[in-house]
Amino acid sequence: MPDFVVTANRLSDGIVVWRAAEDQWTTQIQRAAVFDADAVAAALSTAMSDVAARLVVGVYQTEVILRDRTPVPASVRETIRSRGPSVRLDLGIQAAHAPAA
Amino acid sequence: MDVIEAGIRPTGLAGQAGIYHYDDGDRDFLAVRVAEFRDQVARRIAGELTEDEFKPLRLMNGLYLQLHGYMLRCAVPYGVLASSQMRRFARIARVYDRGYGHFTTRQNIQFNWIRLSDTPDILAELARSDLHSIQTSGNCIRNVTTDQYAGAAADEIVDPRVYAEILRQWSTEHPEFSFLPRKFKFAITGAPSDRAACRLHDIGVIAKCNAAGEIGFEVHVGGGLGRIPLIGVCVRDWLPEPDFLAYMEAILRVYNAMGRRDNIYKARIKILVQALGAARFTELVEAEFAAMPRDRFRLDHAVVEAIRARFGAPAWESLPASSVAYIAARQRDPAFARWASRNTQPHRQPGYICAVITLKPIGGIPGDASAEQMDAIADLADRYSFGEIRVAHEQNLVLAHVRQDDLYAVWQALGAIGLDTPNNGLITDIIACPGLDYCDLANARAIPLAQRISERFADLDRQHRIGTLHINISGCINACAHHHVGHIGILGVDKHGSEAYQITVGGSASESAALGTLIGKAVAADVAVDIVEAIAMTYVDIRAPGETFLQTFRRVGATPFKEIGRAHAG
Repeated sequence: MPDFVVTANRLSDGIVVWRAAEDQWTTQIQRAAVFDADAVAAALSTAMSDVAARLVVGVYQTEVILRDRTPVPASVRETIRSRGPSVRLDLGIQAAHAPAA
Repeated sequence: MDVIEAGIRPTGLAGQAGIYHYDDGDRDFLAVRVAEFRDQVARRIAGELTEDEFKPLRLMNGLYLQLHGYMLRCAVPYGVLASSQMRRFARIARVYDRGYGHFTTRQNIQFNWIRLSDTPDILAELARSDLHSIQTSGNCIRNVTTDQYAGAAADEIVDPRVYAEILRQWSTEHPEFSFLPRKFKFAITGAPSDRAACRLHDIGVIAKCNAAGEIGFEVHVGGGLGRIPLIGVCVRDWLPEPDFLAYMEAILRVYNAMGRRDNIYKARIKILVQALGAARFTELVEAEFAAMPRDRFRLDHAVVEAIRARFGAPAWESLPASSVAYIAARQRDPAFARWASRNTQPHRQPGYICAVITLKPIGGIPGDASAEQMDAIADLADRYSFGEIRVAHEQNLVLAHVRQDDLYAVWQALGAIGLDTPNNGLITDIIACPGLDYCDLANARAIPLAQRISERFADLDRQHRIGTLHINISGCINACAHHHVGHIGILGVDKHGSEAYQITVGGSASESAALGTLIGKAVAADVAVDIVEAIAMTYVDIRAPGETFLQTFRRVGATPFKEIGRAHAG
């Protein structure tokens, strides 16, 4: 049975975010809350309230694979979205969360 | 008008010839637009506008929501920029983005890391340099593109910039054409060599002169790429200058009235032309044209000349046709000679030459330029090219009016900023869209494949032996990189969840426009690089002396290339 996360872009700056525990949003997919097929619709519905609250835009669900209980995007598109451009490793989420040199 | 954006006054284009000079009316118009968008953004952030309500408003100002966030596409009308405007882009890259911009196949520039709340300030900054983001998105008439050597090329008959500007003014916020069935793209050239892909546009205009010296236009309609690629049909071989706008209006009216609005994939004018047939479509346009009050739409030559005057003319020096210093430098320095052999274009003015700055260093990202590079190019333009820069639809830049005497110094300066690669028109001068690395619509990445091909052909001797060979890579069927008309065209697709690439050969965007022929099934990126190499080597092996890639392809057909596709099909 597939697993899902709920994702969106932050309204103010467009940064990619995922729905985390306690109805928060995170910029790291590893911290995203994971839902099964039965639960994801309700999670999506709850997340939509933050569209009305002007926190996020473009909410949708996307499939993930669990590796060591951590969600990993199932598609190339979502992998790039969760990291940043594959041709500029100094940009995007991958840069923001890169370990200090 | 109750709000005029404070401080929107020109930084000045004085002394910069070749740039259309705004007057106070133009600047007030931009100020109102900026204030309007500032209000719309504030209302969006305050929750007074939903995203559904806001989206068409932001798109009318070039603001997209892409894979990693907001992307702002700024217009470079017909690809002509003043050095001060390039510096403005550099400043926006530095202050509001991540230090770089991406030049596009519509001769515009995109910034990929924009904050929504910053966009009104960015538009205000653009307006201070007579720049904007109008007509870079939405179902309107988009930025008109033209020959990057307009007003400079030795083979040019009519300067298309003047008519491109007329089209811009006519189409900007045109009440009848602001909500067309789909986006609408014009290209115009004034040279017999079509460097603007005119036959692949919704309307392609070729300006020319008749035996009496009068200016007129050949008009092509219904060209386009994307999901259904078609070459435009010629609806008028000769349209007199006074009827230019009336006829464009007639075409748009027929499209606006009859173009499909029920299916986004069938809404472009090419589908209407195809459905009606070229003869019936032309008949409808001619009927509309005949019924129009011609005086009201008449384009007086005095108006044309007034607009031409607003461009200004470079203060040419009287120079010999060829420069002794330039010839000596070519003889003395083989690296310079190699660069000059590819990265220049003959100029109509004796002693001058057009210099092409390819934004395609080996292994680089096609079309990207850093803020520092933009500033340096602006400095070069000021020093060597009357403060003027062109953006080519090949995602390169051009210093259009360089004295041949100065070309060696220009080349050396380009070397200092890593932009002296002598590959204009060669196999590493690849047109590539942002693809899945940035674009929300893409199915596959385009940039990494371009980089791998560029690295495979890094050997300059080998590139130059192969000669002119255009590669275009699109990350989806929308064809932003014009893959259908690449000599080698590559389309990224999603094949069972993996990126794969379809390859075509024999396409051309030139006056002998042609759509490429598919040579096999979609393959993985590493195989695509091997196929490109095999195609290039096959061409080298089978070409007759002096034969171009297209000439070879048209002589031998697709068979040898399809064999390559089959051999790599796995």
